[in-house]
Amino acid sequence: MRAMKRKLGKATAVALLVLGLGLGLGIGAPDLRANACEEALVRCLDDFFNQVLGAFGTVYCGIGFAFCKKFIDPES
Amino acid sequence: MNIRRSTAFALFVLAVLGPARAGTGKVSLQEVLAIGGLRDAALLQWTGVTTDAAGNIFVLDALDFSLKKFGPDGRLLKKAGRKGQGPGEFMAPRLLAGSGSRLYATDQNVFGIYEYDSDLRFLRTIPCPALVLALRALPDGKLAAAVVGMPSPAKLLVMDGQGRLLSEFPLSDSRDAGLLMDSAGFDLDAQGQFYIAYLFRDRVEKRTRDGRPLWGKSFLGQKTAATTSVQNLLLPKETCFKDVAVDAFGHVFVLGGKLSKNPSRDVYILNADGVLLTTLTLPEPSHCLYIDGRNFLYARADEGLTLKKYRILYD
Repeated sequence: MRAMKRKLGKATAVALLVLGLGLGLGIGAPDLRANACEEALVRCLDDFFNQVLGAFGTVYCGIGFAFCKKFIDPES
Repeated sequence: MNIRRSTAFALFVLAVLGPARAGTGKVSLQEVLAIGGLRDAALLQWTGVTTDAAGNIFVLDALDFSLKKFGPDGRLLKKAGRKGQGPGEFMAPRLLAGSGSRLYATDQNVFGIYEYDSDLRFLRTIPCPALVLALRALPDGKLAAAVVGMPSPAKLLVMDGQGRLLSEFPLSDSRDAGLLMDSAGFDLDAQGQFYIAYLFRDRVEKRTRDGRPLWGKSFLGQKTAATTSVQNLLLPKETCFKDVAVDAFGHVFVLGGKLSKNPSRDVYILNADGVLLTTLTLPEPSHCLYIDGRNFLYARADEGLTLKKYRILYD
């Protein structure tokens, strides 16, 4: 029960991060692993809407990356 | 004349002994309250915390897309907000600050700061010209925000309660800092001077109200955060300092990141001149530090499921 809630919390946290990065689609059961923030950033930068936004899109993705490094990534 | 000399002597003794009572030796923590937990749904993933003068605790819950008010005993009193992009709604709640009867919250992708009263009634969105990385509410109703810069360096802005810019200064002197390299957290002392801790640099600074540097120090042996290149963007991989908070005695608590001996747990305690007095280690990793007006320290536990409140004990 405790382990499940912890695992759920982690998975949802990463899902939230991805949402915060501007993706939120097609992400299933993410887990915390090394380079999770970098991978989420790449997806964010590849997102069509963020590419349309140009530099602003990069900032959106960047601030999500900083949040990931500070709040979530256990390797950071 | 003698009376004046006696008074001066008494003031001198107080000035010398007063800070000593706050301790410059070992500092430890005594847990006094835990909100949430593995068997409790009070918090799902908290991100920001602040308190009011009555001891109420306000928390932003990122997974619940809400702002929550807990009593001094940790009992949930009220909840506001939901998932959405309307006024007072959240997609990615992040930072929380408070002053007097006002609360200020941010959503990661919103160019603005949400204002609430202490009963969690949403009042308005204060405009902000950039996305906010760190936020503090000043006692005089002003707001200070560290904002992300692109391509210019990140800045620290001071705004009035309407969002009008009063002053600003860049957070890094380096013009080729690279994306996010000048990301920082900050806090203010009683004189309104800034203590700034850089997320991806081994650097802690003190600056005047108008941004003039007073000192800058390294505490991780001048370690440089490793970088990685993602789609031609040079990005930092490791964190140096995650947060900074000033206690009631003017001591500066700096939370170390990945490059600390105990990542996200080591807290470097400095005096106002930047001299390292001692360190303490949090029981669990945290993403932030908050110290209230009564000198209680708040930090994360259970990876964000729990908020813990500690009494700071000075030897």
